[in-house]
Order: sequence, then C-alpha cells, then structure tokens
Amino acid sequence: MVEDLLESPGPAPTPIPKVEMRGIVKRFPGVVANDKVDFTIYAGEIHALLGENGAGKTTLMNILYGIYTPDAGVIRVRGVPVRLRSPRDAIRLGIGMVHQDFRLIEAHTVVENVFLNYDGLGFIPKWSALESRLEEIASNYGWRLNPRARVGDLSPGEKQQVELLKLLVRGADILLLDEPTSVLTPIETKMLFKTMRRMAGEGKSIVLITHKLSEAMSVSDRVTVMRRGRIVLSKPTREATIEELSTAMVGAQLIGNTVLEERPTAPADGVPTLQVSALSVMGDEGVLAVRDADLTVNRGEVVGVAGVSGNGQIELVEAIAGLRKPVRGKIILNGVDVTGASPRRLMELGLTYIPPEGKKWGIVPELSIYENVALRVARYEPYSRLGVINWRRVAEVAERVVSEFRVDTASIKNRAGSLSGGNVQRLILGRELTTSKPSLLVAAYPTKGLDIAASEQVRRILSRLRSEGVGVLVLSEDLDEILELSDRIVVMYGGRVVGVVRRGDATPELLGVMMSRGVAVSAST
Amino acid sequence: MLRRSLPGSLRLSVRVERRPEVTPRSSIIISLGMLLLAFLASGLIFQFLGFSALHIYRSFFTALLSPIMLEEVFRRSAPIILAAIGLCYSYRMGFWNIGAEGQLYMGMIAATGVVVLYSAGYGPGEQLLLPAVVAASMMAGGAWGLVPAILRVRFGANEIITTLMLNYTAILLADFLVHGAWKDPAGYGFAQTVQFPAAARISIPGVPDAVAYLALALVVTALTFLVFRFTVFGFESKIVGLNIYASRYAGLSIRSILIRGVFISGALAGLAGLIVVSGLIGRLRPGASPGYGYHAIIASMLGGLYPPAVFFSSILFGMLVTGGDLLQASLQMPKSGVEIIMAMIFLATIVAEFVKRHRLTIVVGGGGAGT
Repeated sequence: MVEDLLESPGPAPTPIPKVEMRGIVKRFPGVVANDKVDFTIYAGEIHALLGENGAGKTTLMNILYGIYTPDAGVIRVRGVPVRLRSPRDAIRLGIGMVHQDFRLIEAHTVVENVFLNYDGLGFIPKWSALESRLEEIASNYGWRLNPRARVGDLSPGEKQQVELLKLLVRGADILLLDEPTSVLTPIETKMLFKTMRRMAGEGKSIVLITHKLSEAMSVSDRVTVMRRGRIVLSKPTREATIEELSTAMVGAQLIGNTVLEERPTAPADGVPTLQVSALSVMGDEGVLAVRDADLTVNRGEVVGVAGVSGNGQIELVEAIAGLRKPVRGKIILNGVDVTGASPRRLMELGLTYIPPEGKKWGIVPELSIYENVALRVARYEPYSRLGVINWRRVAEVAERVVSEFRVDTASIKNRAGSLSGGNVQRLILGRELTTSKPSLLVAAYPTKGLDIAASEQVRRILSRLRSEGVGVLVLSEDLDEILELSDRIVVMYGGRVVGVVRRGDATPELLGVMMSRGVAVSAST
Repeated sequence: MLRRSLPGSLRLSVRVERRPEVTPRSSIIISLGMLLLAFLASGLIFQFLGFSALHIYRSFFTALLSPIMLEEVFRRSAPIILAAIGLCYSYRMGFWNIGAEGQLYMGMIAATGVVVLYSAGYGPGEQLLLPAVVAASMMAGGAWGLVPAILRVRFGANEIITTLMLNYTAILLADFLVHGAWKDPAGYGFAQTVQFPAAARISIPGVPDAVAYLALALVVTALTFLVFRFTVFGFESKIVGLNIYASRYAGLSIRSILIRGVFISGALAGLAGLIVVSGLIGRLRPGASPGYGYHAIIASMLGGLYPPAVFFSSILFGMLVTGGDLLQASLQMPKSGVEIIMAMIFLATIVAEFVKRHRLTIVVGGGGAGT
C-alpha cells in the first residue's frame, strides 16, 4: 500500500530505480499521447526527456505527477507499485513538478507562496521560522532570494527558484522540470543547470523535459527521445551524438541515406510569387524570433521550412500571413509590397494561409460547417450583397467543399467542432481552395496530429496545387514529409535561415546537422 | 472533472462532464426549469420572512394580468426590451457591457437637453422635435458606449469596470443638471426639469402609449433578429465573440466590428432612456430609472441573447418592476421583495448556462478520491 511507503521515504539503495514506468498508455480523443512507454529514473541522475511539441513528454510527466491517470501500465516508485490519483499523492511520494507556466500568486511574498497549502502550518503560521528555513535552503544552492519579496517583483529565474523551493520544502527528491529554460536568459539557464547538478549530487533525480538538443547534451546524464507518443531512443548522454538525437526527434529513419530523385520542374518556374528579404520578426517573449531571413517561393514550387521547433519558423509564416508585424525587412507578394499588410488584404492578393492548430485558428468549433465556410467569404459577393448574406449560396459552396475534399459528415449543419482533426484540416483546405484561387499557399504544420491516411491526403492536395502552378510554403515537424514534398528546403536555426538545400542534395543527415547546429554545409546553395 | 465526497463510509460524488452539444429545445427547457426554481427559491425566502409565498404569487400575477396593470407592465417593459436587445449586440461579441444604465441615462440627458433648449425658444421647430430627441438620445447613448469600446481596443481596458464606472458618471451628471442649470424655474423648487411637450413624445394616434412603445420595441427586436441572422455584420460579430483567433485569421476587422456593435448597444439603451423620460415620467429627475439598464442585463442573459426570447424575458422583468410597487401597496411587503426574485433569476440564469454545457451525474460509492 501507498500508506506503508509513506512512513519511510528515505533514500533507496542504488540498484533499485527511483521511478520505473512500464507500458504506460494514455489515449486522448483521436490521439494516443503515450503508446506503451517505458521510462526509468535513477537516483542522482539528470534525465533529459527530449522530443518535439506534442511528442507526449509532458503527458508522460503529468501521469507521473498524478495529473492524468494512465489507461494502462504500471508505475513503481522506489520499487513499490503505486497508484497516483492526484498531485497530492505524487508529492507525498517525493515527486514534484515545475510547470512551464509558473503557478504562483504574484501579489504574495515568496514565503507565502512556498508554504501555501503546506501541511503542518498550524492556524497561525510562524512566519519568521519559515523564512529562516527558506533562507537556509536557498543559500545552500547559492540563491539570493528574499523570502519577504513579492513574487510579482521577481525575475523569471527567481520565480523558478520559488517553484523549486515549493518542492524542496515538501521533501521532493524526484523533480520534474517542464521546459524550465524557456523563460530564462542564458545566464539564468546556466545558474539553473548548476543548481540541477548540485541537486543530482545530493542524490535527487531530475527529469529535464525539453525540445532543445543543446540543453540535453550539456547537462544530462541520460537522454530519452520521444516521438509521436513512443520512446525512440534512450541511452547515456555521453554515448549519444547530436545528429542521432535530432534524427530521432524528427524521425527521418525511413529514408536513411537515399537521395531523392529530381522531379520534373514546375510549369512556370523561375517566376517568384513570394519574396522575403532581410525579414526580422519579434517573438512573444520580446526577443527577435526571426532575424534577417531571406526566402523566395516560385510559382509551381514547394518550399519546405525545416527546423527544430522554436527556431522562428512559426513567427516567419505568421509574418508572411499578416498575423505578426515585421520589425524590419520586406515581403513582396506577386510583385506587390505587402510588408505589414492585413490578413484580409493578403487574402485578396492571392495568399492563402493554413494555420497550425486548425481547431483554434482555422474554425469556430461552436458553429456549423456551413457557417465555418462563411467565415472567410461572407463579406464578398456573391455570398453577400449590400451586407446581407445569401445563405443559400454559402450552403451550395459548403456542399461542394464537403464533397470535393471528402469532409466526413452527415450534414453541413453539423457542428464543426464535432469533426475529427483530419476532417477539420480538409474543411479548412477545402474552404480556402474552393472559395479562392491562391497564387501562394502557406501551410503551417498542415498534417500535425493527423493520422497517416489523412496526412497523405493533405500532402496530395499540396502536390496538386504545385502542379497547378501555385507556390507552396510548408512548415512541418516531420522531416520525412519535408523531404517528400519540397523542391527546396529552407533550414532555420536561431531565427536565421542557415541554408537552402535543393531537393536533389537533401539528406536527413545533412538537414539534421544544419537544424541542430545552425551551420550551412557545403552542399547547400 | 470535479469530485466532492462526503465523509464517512458512504461516498457520494458528482461527476461533471462537458456536454458536447445542446439542442435549442433542451436549452429552452433548462432555462424555463431554472426560472421556475428561481421563483420557488424566492418563495421559500418569503415564507421564512413570514409571508405566504402562494398568496404573494397569486395576487402578484392576477393583479399584473388585469387590463390596467398590464398596460403599466407593457409601458415599463419597453425600455427594458430596448436596452436588453441592445445588450445582445455587445454580449454576442464577448464585450461585457454592464453600462446600459449609464447609456440609458445619457439618452435621457440628451433628449432632455433638446427639450430644455426648445422650451427656452431655441432649437428645432415642433415638427422636428421628435426626430431631434430620438437622434440626440441614440447618439448620446451610443457615444457613451463608445468610450469603453475605444478604451478596450486601444488600451485593453477591462470593459466591465469602465462601463460600470461610467454608469455612476452618467447618473451623477443627470443629478447635477436637474439640481442646477436644467431645474424647471416653475417647478416649485423640485429637482426636476420642464415637462416634455407632446411633440417630443413617441405616440401613435388613437393607440394607448403602452401599445406604441411595445410596437417600437417589437420592431427593434425583429430588426435585430434579422441583423443577427442575415447580415455580414451580425455574423461577423458572433465570430468575434466565439473565437478571436479565427477572427484574426479570417481577416475580420475586429476593432471596427466591436466599435460598431457597442455603439448600437448604447444607442438602443439611449432610446430606452428617451421612452423613460418622455413617456413614463415626462421629465428628467433624479433616479428616473429604477435600474432598467441593470434589469436588461439579466433579461438579455435569460433570453440567451436570442432576440425573440429576450423580448419576452424583458416583459417578465417589466412585470417584476411593476409588481414591486404592488407588493408594497397591497401586501405590506417591502418593495425590495422583487429584488430577491430578480437576484434569484440572475443566479438561476448563470446556473442554467452551466447546466447547458455540462452533464451532471451523481455517483454513489464510486469515485474514491484520496488515499
């Protein structure tokens, strides 16, 4: 029983792993987030859990932290099988998690935050005793943290220390850190890594959830890579190479060393539909996410953007689609300068954008399918006249979208939110392509979250557009997909375009090196 | 999921799950059921206070449905309907305008201003007086709504706070004017303005005022229904309320939609103010509105922002407002008794929204939270 174990949470003998997860399965509607995952944590190790967004890392850790219950599988903590029903259970077993977004009360002080909901506070807490206890722990790790400071006044790095203190005072010795460096400056990151090393030296176990290869390489003892809900690689970090990890993350194992054959070039090649020059775009954190990027898409050409996520790809396409204002640089669409133009004007000039997360950006789930078709066209003739919508016209075109793009639904009156991911994506593509004649299609992660058949259909639609002379710019986290679709591949690293590789020259190894190190290799043009 | 267990061996837990879809029919049934519960709960409170709830409700409704009282009910419903229909424009865009009361007051002030000028010998001639007060009240109400709308799109200011604060500003401005510059010189020192002349009143010849007001409210309701259903503006304003990301992606001009919608909201509240000041009271005085702008909030929510339903829920509030006086006069019960009912309806509306979106099941013995 869990009860028995709680009495003696002392350090376990080394051969028994601290945590052993076996055959963990977790399904969400439409996806298997964790598919028979085995994961082991030993005492005194820093274990990097690496993977792209949506690979299932956070789900796995949320299971270990009691937020989700697994559909199948066993969890052993210090050799004893446990059932974790809530984070309370996890904390009692010495497991603590720091989420990517801090869960702190900004108006309260450090000590109030740390001891919030702490057992044994008593009716009137002895704050001074608690403060000196915090100071003691903090100084042990070399943190300069005033227990009486308001959390709202702290820097992100200090807030993270508060989160860690919350775990430490509750005796956690298995620490799960979800993307802990995403909000930190390089110096703060270095500090954090030092702290992590120290904690590991004390016998604590740390899981570093990250999608940044360099972090995994620099700080961890073991590295495990997840992709699409499965573990694809797990080994001591010193035996791993950066190329092998990046290939494992994005999954180019199918193609291996083969070089793709040249395809017949596009009907009207050499005529650019999109020209981006020296473009810089601000990211959400207030630092430049795209720096001096140059990019051209010709008519009848598919250009793929490859890169480990978080290297500026999404900000680049959002700037092109008019959803983000560029800081510097120029965007020219079919010869017209459209830098900073609104999404509506871009659409009227022939750009079609397929957003990532279709259910969030592309449709309104609460509305019917035909209303979602109206979303983009309601204000144009013949779908409306003098501000009055012609719903019959809308319904006609919605029927066409549904039948031509095989949106699987009984009626166009059904709620769009009830469609599966693949159907939503086909609805979006169908709507855009039926109601407009684009000269440039920008697709951000168009197959993300789709099953194999649905992905294949989307790729076929993109290839068809290419043969019709449309320029296509596509983002994907799947290197195989990029290689299959693209005539040219643009590799991004640290917000810069570090190389453009032609189809015939591209290999997963070459791209993997460029993506992970940001170096343009000789074969690039 | 939310679990609540009772101590002891018996475990009772309530499972709350999101309901994927709500049919219009079940939505109406839930709303009406909750309304009934609100009356039951208020009745319990009356009972505790030593009144007979059954007696109260019976005399309440029989009296209100008598021809004389019914006319009063309709007169008082009209401003609530107009303001509540106006609020639908705001709420469907996700703009939480609780400033209808202030916008209504601004409508009253502007209309009174025109009349004050007119009786001083300035301003429009007699034939133009009605169009002038209608335009003035609607523009003023709309403009009062524009302030928080612009603050929101320019600076991201929370409209719940700005609209609420502007209510007090408008109410105090009305007080200031009727106590000062606009005080009727022939009014024996009472804090009130001159009476509205007949030419400044909305009326249909040969028809009781109540019917004329109700007809106006009905026309506005029908127009709004058509705007919501058939116009690009009505459709796009709904999108803005449902999914701001999709709105941006679809290239909607969110700011302009928001500003137009809130202006219409305020303009209709201003028109409601005109009815109060020209028809119900005949002049501007302190406390001219007993809170029609607030009743309109609950009425529009209770009607699910669906204009025909809002029309009827507003009439229910017209009944409650009228009935308040009745309670005091004939049952020796404080006027605030109806406020209990209104508050219960408001709570019930909120609960109804939750019930519509979730499925509740009670699990006995299951659940088993904690170790």
